[in-house]
Amino acid sequence: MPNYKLLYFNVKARGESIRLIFAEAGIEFEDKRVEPSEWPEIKPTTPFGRVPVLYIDDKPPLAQSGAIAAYLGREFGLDAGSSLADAYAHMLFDSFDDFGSILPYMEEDPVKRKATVQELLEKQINPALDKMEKKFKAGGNDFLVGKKLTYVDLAFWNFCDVLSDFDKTFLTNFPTLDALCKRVAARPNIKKYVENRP
Amino acid sequence: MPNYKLVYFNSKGRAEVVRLMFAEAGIEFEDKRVQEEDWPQLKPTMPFGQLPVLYIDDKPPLPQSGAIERYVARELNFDGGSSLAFAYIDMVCNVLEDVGSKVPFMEEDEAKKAAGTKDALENHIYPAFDKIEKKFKEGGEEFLIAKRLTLADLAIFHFSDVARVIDANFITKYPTLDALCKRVAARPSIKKYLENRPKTPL
Repeated sequence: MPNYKLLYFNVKARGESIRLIFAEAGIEFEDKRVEPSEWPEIKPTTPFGRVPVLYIDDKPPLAQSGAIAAYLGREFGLDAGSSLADAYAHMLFDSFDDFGSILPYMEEDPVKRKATVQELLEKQINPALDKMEKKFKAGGNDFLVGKKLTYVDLAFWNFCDVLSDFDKTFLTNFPTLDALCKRVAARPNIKKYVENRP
Repeated sequence: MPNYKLVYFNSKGRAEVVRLMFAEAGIEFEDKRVQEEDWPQLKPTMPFGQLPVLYIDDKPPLPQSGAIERYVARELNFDGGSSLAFAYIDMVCNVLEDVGSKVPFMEEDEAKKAAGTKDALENHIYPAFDKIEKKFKEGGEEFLIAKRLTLADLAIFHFSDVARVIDANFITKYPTLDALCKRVAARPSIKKYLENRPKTPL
């Protein structure tokens, strides 16, 4: 097993999906959480001045959360098992990343925050979740892509977890997706990780 | 070989890298270009209301240019041959997507657009390309990843092509990448494709 080190800030966002992959797979890794004060010194050592970055033994560092998640998914058997199934899987991953990136993380005014989130939910997120809910329900599987858990289910759980910091009720409109999130959260390795994470 | 149909607008944009892969691999596909006036009717029939979408035989349509690129790269052997090589290719594509998305192509206010474009170039695009150029030059290889043509080389080529719209001499700032792009363009199948493709600025 290679030596893994994940470099990210001490937040959930784009690093958490990756941490969840390691947790579910039961693979040890160094979870380096960068403090704001350390960042100016660390930034120029990263491939593109951003995080997350994955260090694998002494190989060139790997940047970009999507590339890291897909790679680890394949390495740990949390991928969808074929080029085409993986494509559908990563499509969903990219969609969650798209939506996650437009949330008003920096907005400090709670009234503005709430209003922005409501608008995003109404105009963008809920319509997409609606389509997903219908497809997922019609497919009749336990997981988003096929019959087994993939890194995309973990990314979806993370997306819902992060969004629930802004709005606690949105998932109640999507019962099959809600059930999926509960199934993911109940998995022993995930449950343990979430209980113990910073 | 499956039946492929790629649906996009009549521009390069988010479909061109896929088109380049089909061209280089010599794979026939239906290159469906949607006219502006037909889009409102077509939009609700797309999985997420966006383009490009790839149809593969009678399978569920595949949206998201990133997912399409990755799938086609794997199917047509532009994936570098290993999970790790593919991860580095993925990284390059994601960086290009990141920095490219900072350019306010849709901004209607000319002054804001100019300011936003300058910011995107100076604070995102040039720094990223500085890093890629440096690593590529130091590595001394002919291609970006895995010693052979991959999705990463085609993605850089496409980016350099459309970047001319916002910086006419863009890729010349990066001699090793410029040489790579010229090598890509000179490949017989790519050369033929470039000569015959519809001419659009972006």
